[in-house]
Amino acid sequence: MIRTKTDRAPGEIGPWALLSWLLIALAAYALLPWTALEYGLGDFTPDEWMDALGWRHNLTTLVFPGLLVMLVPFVWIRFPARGYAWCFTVVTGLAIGILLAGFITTRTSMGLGAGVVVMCLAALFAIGIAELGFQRGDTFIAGAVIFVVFMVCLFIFFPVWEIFRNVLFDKAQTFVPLQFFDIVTSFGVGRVIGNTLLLAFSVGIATTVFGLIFALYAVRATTRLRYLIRVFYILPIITPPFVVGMSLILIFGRAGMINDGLMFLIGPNGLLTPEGSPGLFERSGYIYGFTGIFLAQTLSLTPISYMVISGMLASINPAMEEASLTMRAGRWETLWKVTFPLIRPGIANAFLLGMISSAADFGNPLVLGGEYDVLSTEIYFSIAGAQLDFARAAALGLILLFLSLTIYFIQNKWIGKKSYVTVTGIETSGNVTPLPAGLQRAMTIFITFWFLLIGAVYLSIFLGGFVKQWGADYTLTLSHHLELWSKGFDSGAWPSFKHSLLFALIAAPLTTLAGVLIAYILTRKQFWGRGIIDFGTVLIFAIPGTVIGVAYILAFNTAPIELTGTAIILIITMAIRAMPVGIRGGMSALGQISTSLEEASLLQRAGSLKTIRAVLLPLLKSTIVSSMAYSFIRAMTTVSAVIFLATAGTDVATTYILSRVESGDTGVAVAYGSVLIFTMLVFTLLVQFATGRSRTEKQVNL
Amino acid sequence: MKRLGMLCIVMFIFLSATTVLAGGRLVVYCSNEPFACQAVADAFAEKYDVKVQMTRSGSGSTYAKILAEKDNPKGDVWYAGTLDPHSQAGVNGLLEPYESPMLEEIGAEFRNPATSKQHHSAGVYAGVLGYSVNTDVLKEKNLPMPRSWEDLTKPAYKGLVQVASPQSSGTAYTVLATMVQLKGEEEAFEYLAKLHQNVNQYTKSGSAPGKAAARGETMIGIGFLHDHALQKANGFPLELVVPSEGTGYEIGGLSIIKGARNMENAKKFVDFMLSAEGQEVPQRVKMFQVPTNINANVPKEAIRLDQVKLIDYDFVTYGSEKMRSHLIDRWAKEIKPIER
Repeated sequence: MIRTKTDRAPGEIGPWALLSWLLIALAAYALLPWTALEYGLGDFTPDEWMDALGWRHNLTTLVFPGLLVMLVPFVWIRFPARGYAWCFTVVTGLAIGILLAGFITTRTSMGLGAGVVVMCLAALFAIGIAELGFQRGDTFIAGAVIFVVFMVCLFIFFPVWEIFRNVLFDKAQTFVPLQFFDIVTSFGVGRVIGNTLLLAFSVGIATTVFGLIFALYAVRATTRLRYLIRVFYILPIITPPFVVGMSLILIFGRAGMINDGLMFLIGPNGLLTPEGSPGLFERSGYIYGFTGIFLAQTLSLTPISYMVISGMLASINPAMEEASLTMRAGRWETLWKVTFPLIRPGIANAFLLGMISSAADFGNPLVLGGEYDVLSTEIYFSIAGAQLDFARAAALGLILLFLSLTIYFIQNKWIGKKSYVTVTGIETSGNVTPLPAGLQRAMTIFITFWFLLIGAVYLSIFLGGFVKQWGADYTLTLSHHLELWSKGFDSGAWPSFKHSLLFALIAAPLTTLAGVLIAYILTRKQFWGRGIIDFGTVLIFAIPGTVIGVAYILAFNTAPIELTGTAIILIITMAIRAMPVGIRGGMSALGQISTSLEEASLLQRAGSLKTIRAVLLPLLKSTIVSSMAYSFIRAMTTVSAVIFLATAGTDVATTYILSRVESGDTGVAVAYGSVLIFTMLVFTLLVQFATGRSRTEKQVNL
Repeated sequence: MKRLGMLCIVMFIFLSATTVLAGGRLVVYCSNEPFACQAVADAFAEKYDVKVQMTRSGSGSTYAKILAEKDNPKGDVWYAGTLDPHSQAGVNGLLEPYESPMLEEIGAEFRNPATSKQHHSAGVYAGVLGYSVNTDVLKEKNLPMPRSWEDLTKPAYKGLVQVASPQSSGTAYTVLATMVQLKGEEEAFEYLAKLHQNVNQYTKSGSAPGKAAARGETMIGIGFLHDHALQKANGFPLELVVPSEGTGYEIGGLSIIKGARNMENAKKFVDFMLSAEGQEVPQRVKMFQVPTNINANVPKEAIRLDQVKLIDYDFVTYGSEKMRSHLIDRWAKEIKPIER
């Protein structure tokens, strides 16, 4: 479809917009470094800056300003319409191609200037194809699509391809298609895969069963304890994943509370040990290995499965169960034959989610693993350990990626299609069926015990920061906290804490914006190439953090895009890790907004940019606020991907804590961990308070 | 036009923020502990008014980084980390030979230790292999103090010894290579099989057993004694043992990267790190490796090389990639799977 100047909608691209893109590109070429600055953007001399400018670096780069200047007349001359559009599309497309090919073939690293030029060219390209009819001439959407495709290719497909490349080619760049099988069949790898699967399966089962117990209890029980359950799901969200593992060492480790207590009672020279007897108990390290990881993951992942199942349980129409009871079925029979079948997809979903999270977890196996090797830690030690074997890391990463993709697809294609929702929107009456009395009693005992354990976990983290040396010297002291927080803002914990805050604050709005944009495109737009974004999204959802870490190390360590060691790569990593939050939030919110609102706006000849701004954004406000908040929290607590990418100058809170764990400073580590948890808790409560209020405001306005 | 104006302002801020550097720059790739790297970089920067950029990562990853940047080197000098990867880099032509005038003050075996024998690397410190014993746990269990490698295999110490896995740790590989050099390969593996019965856990990181011994998580931790000396200096009840049969040691490498962009400063840095002044810097942050400069102060916490029995460690043979993977593979296949 060709659009001429006359039927251009208001708010669409005018000559000034075109001209400003061209001018920014020209200015960037003239003034910003074309090749990467030798010592980075944060540290350079005027001479180095000058040397990196395109026209001083290499005269052939003058082809780009040449092409840009060539486009300037077309800003005003737009006739014939199609010819003008073709000209823009072809010239900018060609320029992007030449630019990228140039950097790749000469193996030089792109600088800020080249980056800005590519962005401007991409914008002009989007304008061009929009004029040619792509997205019905809507430049904003065309630009957004180009932007999203570009970002997905750069930060998802390219790094994942680098993993494949490292598996398929050896160091001398010869094609070795069988290397993958050599690595997988090499000694020990089979055991690692087996370990990962066994752990993931067990944790999946355990979290599902426990999540189910919690869900039934929270929704159906009649005791007060159930109110507590509704609060505890916050804990795993605000706790960095490995902190639970750390506290288990404090409680169950060789020098932990349980071992100390048993030693005191029945060890050699123990209180209850008869004189001269060797004692009934020896310190043991049972917590290191399968038991410990299993316990830590079950403790931290059960709330997730609880949320999945309780959501399902709450959506059951109580009338169904009431009918069953009326037909004289007992409470047990109703539970077995009516309730369970109705929540079966929720249970399956919780199981798969538990499996996927267990396989992807990195922090707990690192802290508690002992000799129990799983894929995520093996990947890390293939790069950080003595071996430094990129091919091995890549091959193991590929297996982990394949594993989580498989589970993801089962989850979506197989279970996603079965809808058992029985709430129809028609007002239903009926009371929630209570649990069988015996079951409720048993559950009360179990849940009380669970809360005691959780309480011990968090108490040990909190107290651990205030005692000299857990296990050896329980004198109360402030020294750990003083070491972290009182030595000025440039030492102790402050630099890493500031980095975490700063990076997460930058990443959160970025990832929310991109996430909502992707959600918008996926729910509202049909076009050729949509599959790219679709598959990119799947990868964003399914890719484990360790795999992202390896992929980014492989992809962004050398020319043409050199980002390792910079803050930029950490911000991008945090943004990618948090993006599912934005996409999911955007998708569910957009699913509830009828398209007729937007159509009305478009019919009134508002451009889609204006429609989004004036119609969708106000409706999405609370989604955006809450997903920004949770993106922030996720960015603050993530560890698996950033541990590969953080360096001495850019360490973040989680990597700093882990490095203190590794160097044996448990006191300092838990002191920092408890402050981090506390900060996140306060932040979450503030956000809940704020968003809760905005919801009531809306109701008042209506 | 507003955007262009903004751009100019940003540019102005950028340019005015940078200062002119009197002594130029230096990029150090450092494989020591982070705080030691920082101390060394600061000391050099202060003395020569050079702007030092320091990147810290393990010696293996640093080697890979230098290899990847071969055509366009980003680093100037590589400080610390076990000698083996330095040797490998020298053999593969990634390093610049440099005979520092300071070599006169360096102990003879550390002047030119790398495989290439062309002054690609110098030894900047030495670390002695041994183990440390948590004396509190020893008292609690009422056991005698072990003194030799052989003592560690006694049934009394079952489940009390911790050592890293050579699959992930260079420290543990040094243990493996030391045993082979002490006893010959077959007997060494017999010894390791016996030791295996007493090991409670093979850790990933080479410095972990010393830290676990400090906390009482294990009674005996095998590793480089300077790591353990740090824990002892922090007040933990550790006794450091140099096994009586003799023991192996590591050499910390110091090399200039070929094609360094700041060659003059790289040479200055090597001279500085080989001088007594430079080698005393890490002691200030409790890194108790043994200095190789004969005039440098040996910290009282460090093990003195002339007071312990060291084996004649063959860095050329046991640093080679072939021997390394042979021994590690054999360990992984024959020792690790044994039931205990």
